[in-house]
Amino acid sequence: MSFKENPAAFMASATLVVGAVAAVSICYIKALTANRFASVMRELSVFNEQVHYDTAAFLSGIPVYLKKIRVVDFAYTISHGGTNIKKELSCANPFITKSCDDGDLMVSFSMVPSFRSGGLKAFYELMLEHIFLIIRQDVLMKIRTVNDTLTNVLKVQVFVQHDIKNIAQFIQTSYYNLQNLKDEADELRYVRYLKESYSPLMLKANKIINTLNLKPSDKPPAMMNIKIEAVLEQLISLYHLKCDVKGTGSVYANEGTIFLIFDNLVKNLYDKYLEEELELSIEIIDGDGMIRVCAFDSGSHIKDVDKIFEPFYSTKNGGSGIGLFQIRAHVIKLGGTVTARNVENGVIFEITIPKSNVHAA
Amino acid sequence: MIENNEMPNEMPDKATHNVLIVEDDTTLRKQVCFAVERYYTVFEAQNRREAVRVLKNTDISVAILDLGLPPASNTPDEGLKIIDYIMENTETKILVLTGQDSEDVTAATIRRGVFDYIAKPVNMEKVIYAIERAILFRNSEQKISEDGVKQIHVSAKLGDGLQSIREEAERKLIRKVLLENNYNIYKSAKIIGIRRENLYYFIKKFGWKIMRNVV
Repeated sequence: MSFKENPAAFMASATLVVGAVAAVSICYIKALTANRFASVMRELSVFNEQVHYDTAAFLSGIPVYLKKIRVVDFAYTISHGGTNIKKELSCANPFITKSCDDGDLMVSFSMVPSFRSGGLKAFYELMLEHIFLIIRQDVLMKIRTVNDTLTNVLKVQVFVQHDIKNIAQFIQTSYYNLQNLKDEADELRYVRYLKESYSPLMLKANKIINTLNLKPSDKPPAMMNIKIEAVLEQLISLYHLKCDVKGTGSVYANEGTIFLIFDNLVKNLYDKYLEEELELSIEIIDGDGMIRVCAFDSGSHIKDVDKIFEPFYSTKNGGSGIGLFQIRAHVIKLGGTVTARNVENGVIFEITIPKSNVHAA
Repeated sequence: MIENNEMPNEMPDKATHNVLIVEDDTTLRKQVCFAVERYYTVFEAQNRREAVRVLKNTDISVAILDLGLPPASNTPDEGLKIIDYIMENTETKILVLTGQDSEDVTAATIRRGVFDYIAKPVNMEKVIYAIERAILFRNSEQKISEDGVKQIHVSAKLGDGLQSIREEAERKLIRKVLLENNYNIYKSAKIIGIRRENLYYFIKKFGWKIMRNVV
């Protein structure tokens, strides 16, 4: 039986073919559209990375990408802590929008597609979601970075402020004392007190300069032979600690740097000693080209022992997280290493410093 | 803990008073010691542990106290703990001399009953003057005490009712009399004007241990 004999069958078949072709065409077009949208989404993510997740740069660069998917206009509002970044729509066409407001941060993004058929609506909504998430992530990341920076600056400020106020008070009190010296015996006593203050004062000045990363002079730091056991004994005496120092060893280095390293180490032991009853001991091992200093305390284990040398990380109440970071920074600069490890009955800090260029004592 | 044995060479009438200087900064502590020991017998401490040791063994008239002490030098916590110890266990007047001058910290010390609060840096004349005033107050309080009047410091929040204030006043007064009388129950009960059984009841209620020979 031919189509001529049965036109109805012919029509049915033709409709079927046309329908199939149409369906294939629609699928193809949808696939092309999906592909285009997916490609633009990927490009936007890459662009965000290229502008280093800077929200302002991202927003100023997105029109190029939005044009590819026939978005004729877009608008946004970002509001945080009294600061607003805003762009309004310039046309009155229908738009789609996505926003969130958690009180502290408000983010809103809208866009106007050139047309909104039922099929494309889903693609535009997906794109809207994508751009909105990029903006929100970038803003949250920036807020967090700024907050962390401010917190760290505040820590440094508190850390230094404590010492600077004490120095100001020291000057005031010295002035008072000098004005009230009565006789020679008084003067001698005063000189004795000043002598006792010399080492801690130098340590403090050294600490402030290092914390603020100030350069006391353009000249390279003076190098000398330094006996590690003498440095440690001086510091232990300053902190009124009971701690045996075994072994001896010298390094050729800048005195200020060595004092800063071991002052932070002994201060760390001292802080712990005030919280717990501790047995302390330090051993100096004069090895092949290196001086190894092992400080043992019988106190509780350190939580997150791998993190303690990171800047601003502290497990102590009100701790600034600067002291141990300073140890690591200076030890590494000298070509050495520093580690901390929990052992069965306490904690061991181990510092190695190259003694290369050591001059004969 | 270091006792400076060199006696003041001025104002001998004041030399009988002991002043404790609690300061972790050795350089500053030495200067303050030098300024104060002209007039008083000076004791030093660089942390809470040393301060409490001195306070347990010596009758300190005035404590000059830094708040930011190790192991938490950046917070007032250690200083506040020393204030709590002093207020609970001694008649020592407290002069806070600190760089921690935020409103919260100041309020926390005032609430605890410190005699004076001085922010660093300050002219030393003011510190010496504050010590003089603190000793004057302490002497006057001791004279009043001889007449059977005890002074206690109670901070009260209006609107919280009277029960908590009453309990706090009871606790501080009884603790003070017990400490002053070396936990002699008979004598303390007589001074306060209550029966011994009642005094035992309070000791149990406030969770104290009878510690004789504790200064």
